[in-house]
Amino acid sequence: MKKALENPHLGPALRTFSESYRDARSRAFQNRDFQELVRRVIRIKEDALLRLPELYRSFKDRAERSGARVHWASTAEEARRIVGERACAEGARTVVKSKSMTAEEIFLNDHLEALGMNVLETDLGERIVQLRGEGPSHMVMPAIHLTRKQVAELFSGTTGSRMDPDDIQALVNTARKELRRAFLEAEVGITGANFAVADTGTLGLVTNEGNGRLVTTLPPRHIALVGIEKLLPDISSALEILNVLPKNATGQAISSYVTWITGAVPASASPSGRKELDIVFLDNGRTSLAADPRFREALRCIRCGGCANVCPAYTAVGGHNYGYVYVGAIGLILTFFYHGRENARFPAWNCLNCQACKAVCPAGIDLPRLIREVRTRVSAMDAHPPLKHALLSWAMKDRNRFHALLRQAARIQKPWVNRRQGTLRHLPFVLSGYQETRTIPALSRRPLRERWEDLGTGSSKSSRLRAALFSGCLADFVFPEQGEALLEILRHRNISLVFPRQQTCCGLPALMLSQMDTARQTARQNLAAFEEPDFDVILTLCASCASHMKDAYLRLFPEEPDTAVRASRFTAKLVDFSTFLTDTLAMEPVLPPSAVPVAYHAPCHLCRGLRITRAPRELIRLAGYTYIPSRDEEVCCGLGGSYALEFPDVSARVLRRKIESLRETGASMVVTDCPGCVLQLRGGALKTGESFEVKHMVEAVALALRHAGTRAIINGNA
Amino acid sequence: MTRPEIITRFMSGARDAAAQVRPCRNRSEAFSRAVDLVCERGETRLAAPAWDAGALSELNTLCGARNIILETRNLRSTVDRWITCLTPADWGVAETGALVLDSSDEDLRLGTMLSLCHIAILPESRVVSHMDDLREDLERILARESAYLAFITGPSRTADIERVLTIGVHGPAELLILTIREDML
Repeated sequence: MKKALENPHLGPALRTFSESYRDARSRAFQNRDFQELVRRVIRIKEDALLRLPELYRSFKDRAERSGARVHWASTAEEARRIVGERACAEGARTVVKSKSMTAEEIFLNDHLEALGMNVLETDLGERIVQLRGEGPSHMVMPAIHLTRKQVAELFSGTTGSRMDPDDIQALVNTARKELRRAFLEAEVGITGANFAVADTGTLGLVTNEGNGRLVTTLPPRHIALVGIEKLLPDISSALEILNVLPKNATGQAISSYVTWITGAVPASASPSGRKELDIVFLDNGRTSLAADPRFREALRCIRCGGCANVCPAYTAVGGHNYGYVYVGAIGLILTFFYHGRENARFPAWNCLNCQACKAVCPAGIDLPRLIREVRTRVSAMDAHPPLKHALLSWAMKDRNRFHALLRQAARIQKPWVNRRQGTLRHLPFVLSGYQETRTIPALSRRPLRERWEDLGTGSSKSSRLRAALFSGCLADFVFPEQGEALLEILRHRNISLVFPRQQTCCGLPALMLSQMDTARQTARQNLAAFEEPDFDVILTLCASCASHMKDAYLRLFPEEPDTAVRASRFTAKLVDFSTFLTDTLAMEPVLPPSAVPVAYHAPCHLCRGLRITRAPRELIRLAGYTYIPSRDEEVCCGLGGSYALEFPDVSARVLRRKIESLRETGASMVVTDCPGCVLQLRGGALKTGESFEVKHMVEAVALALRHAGTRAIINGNA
Repeated sequence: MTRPEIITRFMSGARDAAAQVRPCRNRSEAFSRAVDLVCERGETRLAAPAWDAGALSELNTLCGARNIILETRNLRSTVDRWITCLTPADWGVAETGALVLDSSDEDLRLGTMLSLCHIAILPESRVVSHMDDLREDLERILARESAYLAFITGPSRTADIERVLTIGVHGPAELLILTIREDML
């Protein structure tokens, strides 16, 4: 992965792609109800997945009547054997291939080459990396890690004449000429398929370059390798999926070519006058996936590549540095089933849980949840869980123990604390990778919970609203000033705010590490802490906590219906700070407005987890600031909880891009609604000496009120 | 959508996908345009698969007068000699600007895949608004003993080298759609 991060071309190339992809995709889906399209895809896929054996039988029956041979390969090995036998038959020497993820999945090329065949990739990007002896770095653009200069050098070598790196058309034409010969001479063409329509025994292929058409037409033999989950009942279903596939893959309304093939079509190059067509259906773990109730939805995947396109970690490193054969969020999941636990182990942790993938998945797959499930399964199969997971669990389960440990840590950290900045320096072991690119805040000497009594919460009898604060660990132990700012704001509004001392960590870290018992324990403690008195609202300062509690608390207790009921009462009262101010309190605009330029970073857990996007931006304006939109506002900051510690380099790359986008706005302040994002962004901004300050929304609003109060006094408006 | 709206939508969709679209009054005008183009480019051959006898007779006359050799069959064996191919198109789809060609005829496939410039003639009456409008026709064709059906939207393309969009990879670099107002194809 280090190599990928160090490739000077790959980073910018992937970043430009991911930005233009977002634009192209939203144009493609303009005037369409994406959620409705998703619902349709889910219906079609779920129905088909329940009937796979039946669909296979129909397909086989129909296709064989049309002159095709249809095979079922249970394993990768069987598929290689069948394809190998069919390809080599009658002394064939050359295979032309169009892009096929199933072929990559079973490592088909290696097998064919071992059998003495000459295998030529015809997809331009695949051909380029094949000539260089490399693997593809991206699913949609396999050669994106290469510069035009590198491609020109490559083609200069293969053609023997000098190629101009800036004449990209000429480079493409070179490939066209070279591969044209191969198309005409090859005996066998191998493809995948996007659809296998059972009604008519038809294969559907979605392509752009035209190589798929040539591969299926010129050679006398065609072998198609198709995952069984591609089976659909009828062409109508295929057209529905076709409606979303190219839009999500590249932002095109439709690909240049969609090819439908039934049976053995006329083929003059074939001795029989008709195409020799073999269709090999690949199982390789798909049937067990279909039988697994928790994972079955992964088989709905239509292979659009959308999840890879929006993944910040993937955009930072690209390609096979990110996963194993299959890339993107779906790749982290499928690897476990198709390539086994050991190959899935590392990739499964390479996820920020930013939910960007889930937001674009046209098949409605809950990718982040499945990735967590893979981690649980991988860990469960281990003899011993990783030490640090066990330690975290042990530390968090008991609230008193947890808080005692944090108090200890606050004492122990003293020698490393930069008092003025409130940051830590020269940290050892696990944190040292992180601190190369970020400053780390020190634990507060006095956490919020200890300051609370002294702060005077003004619980007057006449308060119109009974509110409680769920602070979350960061606002409690690292950034207590955020809780203080909240009190400052609410004091003016005659609202009593209670801080139930029995509250503890929301449990998200435990859930992310698949420590389910601990996650449940902390949830029970929090439910009990907020039960009495009967609060009207439970305010949160942390989007991650809020999103986790609203989502997970309802699903953590399938065996405890009473707890589940209490959980739903609790979560119904939860409200994030921005929504509380703009909606619940209907805050008036701060006058006079300071008009200070402010940029916004949308925490993943707020914009996608809770789907809250209007309130924070409205609050920035209400507070009198000038909101300056920035590039990639909703892209993850790169913290991802413990991700920043496990993959500090990738986290730093994601952070750097975010800082660049924010710097570009010229804003003097950046606000966000999550202490975790504050930690990450402020840490990065301090390290590189940025001219903007990073504040939590609550601090920014308190500041605005304070200044307006001062200015009002100066202007005589008090 | 009204018929004129459907046609307009088809044309803009096709152009968005980098195809060129030129309306013609009837097939004869379209044939003349195609042959003119071939001549302007100094080409001496025109591939023209999948036309019926009547159409071929008209094409033969036009080409003969301009010394253009018409290649209608066995296109694989003459592939190095022609670069432009003239074919009928069965349908057009307004929502995407796509052409639909029943391509079971091998020469039709070879012509549309191996040419550098593909000229397709499409009657306006065969343009539908959505792909789904063709569902029954598609099912009928694909239910045959064997079938090869092609949706073609614009020329071939790639962005594989530094993400620079390049038109013309393995398939045609140019797609010219001549729509004809009068029905007879």
